[in-house]
Amino acid sequence: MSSFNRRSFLSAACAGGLATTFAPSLSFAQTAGDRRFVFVLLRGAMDGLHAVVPVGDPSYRAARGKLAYGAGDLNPLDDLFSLAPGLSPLAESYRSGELMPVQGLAIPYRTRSHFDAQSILETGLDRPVGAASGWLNRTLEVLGGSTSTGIAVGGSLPLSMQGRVPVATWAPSASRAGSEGFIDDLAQLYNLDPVLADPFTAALTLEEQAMVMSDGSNRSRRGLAQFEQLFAATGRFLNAPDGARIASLEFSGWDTHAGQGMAGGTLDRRLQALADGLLALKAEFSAQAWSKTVVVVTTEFGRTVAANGNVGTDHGTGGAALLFGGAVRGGRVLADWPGLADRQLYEGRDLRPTLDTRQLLKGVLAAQFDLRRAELDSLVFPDSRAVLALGGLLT
Amino acid sequence: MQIDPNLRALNRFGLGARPGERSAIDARAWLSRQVRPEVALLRDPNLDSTQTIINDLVRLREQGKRSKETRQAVRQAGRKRAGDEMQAALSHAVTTDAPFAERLVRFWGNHFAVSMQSEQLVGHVAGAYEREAIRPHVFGRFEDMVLATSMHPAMLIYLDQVRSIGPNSKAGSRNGRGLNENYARELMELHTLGVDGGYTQTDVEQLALMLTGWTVGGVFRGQSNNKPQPFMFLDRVHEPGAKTLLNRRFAEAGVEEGRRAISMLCQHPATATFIATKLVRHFVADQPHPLDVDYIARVFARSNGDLRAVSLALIDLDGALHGEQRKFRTPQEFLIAAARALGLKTLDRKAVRTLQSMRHVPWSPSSPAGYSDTIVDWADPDSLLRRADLAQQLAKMMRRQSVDVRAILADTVESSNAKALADLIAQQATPQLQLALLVASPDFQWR
Repeated sequence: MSSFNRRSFLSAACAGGLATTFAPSLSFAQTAGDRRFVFVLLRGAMDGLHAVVPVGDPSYRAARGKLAYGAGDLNPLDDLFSLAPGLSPLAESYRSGELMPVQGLAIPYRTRSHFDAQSILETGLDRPVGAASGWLNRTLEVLGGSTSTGIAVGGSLPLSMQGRVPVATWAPSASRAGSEGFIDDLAQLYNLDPVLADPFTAALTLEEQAMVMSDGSNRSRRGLAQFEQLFAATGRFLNAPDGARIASLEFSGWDTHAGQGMAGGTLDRRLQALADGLLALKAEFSAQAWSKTVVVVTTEFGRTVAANGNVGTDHGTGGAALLFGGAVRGGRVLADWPGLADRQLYEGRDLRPTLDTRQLLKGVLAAQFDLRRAELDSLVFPDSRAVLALGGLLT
Repeated sequence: MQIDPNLRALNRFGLGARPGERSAIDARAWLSRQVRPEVALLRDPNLDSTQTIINDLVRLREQGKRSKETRQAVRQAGRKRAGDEMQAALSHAVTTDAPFAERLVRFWGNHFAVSMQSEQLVGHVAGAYEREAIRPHVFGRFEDMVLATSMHPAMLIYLDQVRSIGPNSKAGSRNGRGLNENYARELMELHTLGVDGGYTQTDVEQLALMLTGWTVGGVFRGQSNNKPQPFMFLDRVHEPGAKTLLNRRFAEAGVEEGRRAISMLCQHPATATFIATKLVRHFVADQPHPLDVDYIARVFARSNGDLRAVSLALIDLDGALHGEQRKFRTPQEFLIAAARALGLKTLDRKAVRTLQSMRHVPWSPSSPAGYSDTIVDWADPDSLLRRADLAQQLAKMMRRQSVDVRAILADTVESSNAKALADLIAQQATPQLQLALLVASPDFQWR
């Protein structure tokens, strides 16, 4: 198979009818260059208080009830916060400055509906209206569309990645083993199609690049093992010199209304799979490429502070995120901590949000891709001039 | 490439040619014969009406109050219904002799999109919504279709109309809950005027006020005294007083306000252009030609939104049966066309799962804008390989039947590289692989 070149894929795609309409200001746009960005969405609302644990808050034990950890179960980060047992693999990354946990952030609109909250998080708007494109795709657009590249990993094309710029996709699949001859013949036909030749070539190249499993196949792994497979494949795609520069990943299963568990329990095992996955991603990078990489892990909202009657938690407001990567100025927790005492809670039940998710994302994008304020305020996150980007997040 | 209007009609306006049809039809006559209201209906004794579904829901809840078991039972019932409805709709698409009508059903269903991803209750009624609010109006008046969707539980729930309360209504002043603009906004932005249709935020709010009181009967909190019914107007939720929409003043008129607003929106010139643009994009090209859009918009406006006239006008567009431009099949279109080419009679639950891996499950778009209708969202690398997987899977189902692969090729595929395709197919070791390559081929991805 001819070697795969993202640039020719996208430019040919445009010439062949995937033409995109770019805003006029884009002619001066920056390109992604060698900076890498990964957006990881934990669908279902990950319980931030069970991940980046405010064990040092005087109200923690009383507010959390049956779901309160003892300080001895956790990995201390500072006087206030500790990492959950499952996130232990990332403790070393915190010490070396590659991890920055974030607490108390929320989307700009108050809703406890997964669908609305995810839609707001992904469109980058401030209310749940029917925008048909996402902020990741608009970032690609600002970065020049044809010279920067995005990939959605894992079998979905999330709303955040939908829009005018074509993006690559890859997902593991069981059924391709043993049909190599068939695929080769098919490739001959696809090569004759001026529009579809490039995406098909891209598909075969990604298939070859992925192969992260020991049996040399892309058979899809089940359950928690998916994390490692998808993260490692993403690492390979982004590490490649001519590979994608912006990737999206998503994992569901965080909606822990019952039996959330403590160390080694349902949620904690999932956090551990996430931590192992993040390290598997890092392992695929060269030192040089890793130093220019940032991963943002976030979720649509937090969960109730108190445990519910089923030792789980219900839909809440303020939540947590992780910034991870060689480009992160980590080794600290980013939080304007609102506190867990009754009077400090939002609507008497949730962590009060003190940071707009867009402030974090704008800060990362501005630093990572030198995006200009006007682009961030109007194109990537429309009508967000009043939402100030956080500075000092990245090296 | 020689364009055969018959094959174009079957693939582009239908849902994919079946062996034998190409030489047996006359493109225009075949298409116009399908433009009859009764042809677009789906009558299946195994599928329940919206009224029955709502009765069931209310009964389930009354039995168990608000227990966990009840919630589980409701969820299960919803999943089963959604599965049955999808299978019925897909199987109908595979076997129908009026695939032009069926394509229009799918177009309009997606235009007035609801999504089971949002609210569990939408899953119960999404299939019934298509059968009762979309199908009867596909060759009727556009305004009637808008009204039918606006009064159906699927839409009332999906776009939060059931939560909207007039701030100065009896209900609003009592509990301090308020207006929800979601449906009012999408009714203008996505269903009628289009995003550039010239309305303002004030118009959105005014339309939302006009629509307060529109809800589902007997299902939601505080309404248990009301009879379960798909649509109900609650006067105590309705915002009193006059409203102004698009510079026109509307006197207080209860439920009539919403109807009058919808009627005005449907007659607005922006609506004609918006609908025409989407139709031309669907049938002719991702980048619709302005003259084509103008023509369809004129027919729409002059006929006062008569979708029979509009559907017939589509066939007459220059690019319709002859143009060089082609449309890339969406995953559902691909699956249905493949099944028709292979002569399958039904699609099972496995096929629905395949659609999930291709991000195109019926009634499940990630936004109220519905699923995309352009190649940029469907021709991504992973999706092309998934189509190849599905082609092999479908061909496997044919292994016990004798098939004439050459006839299927000649009758269903419009190829720009006909010789290369025929040669490679002939070289495959088994008829099963031959069929798989035919369906997986890039030529089969276009219509």
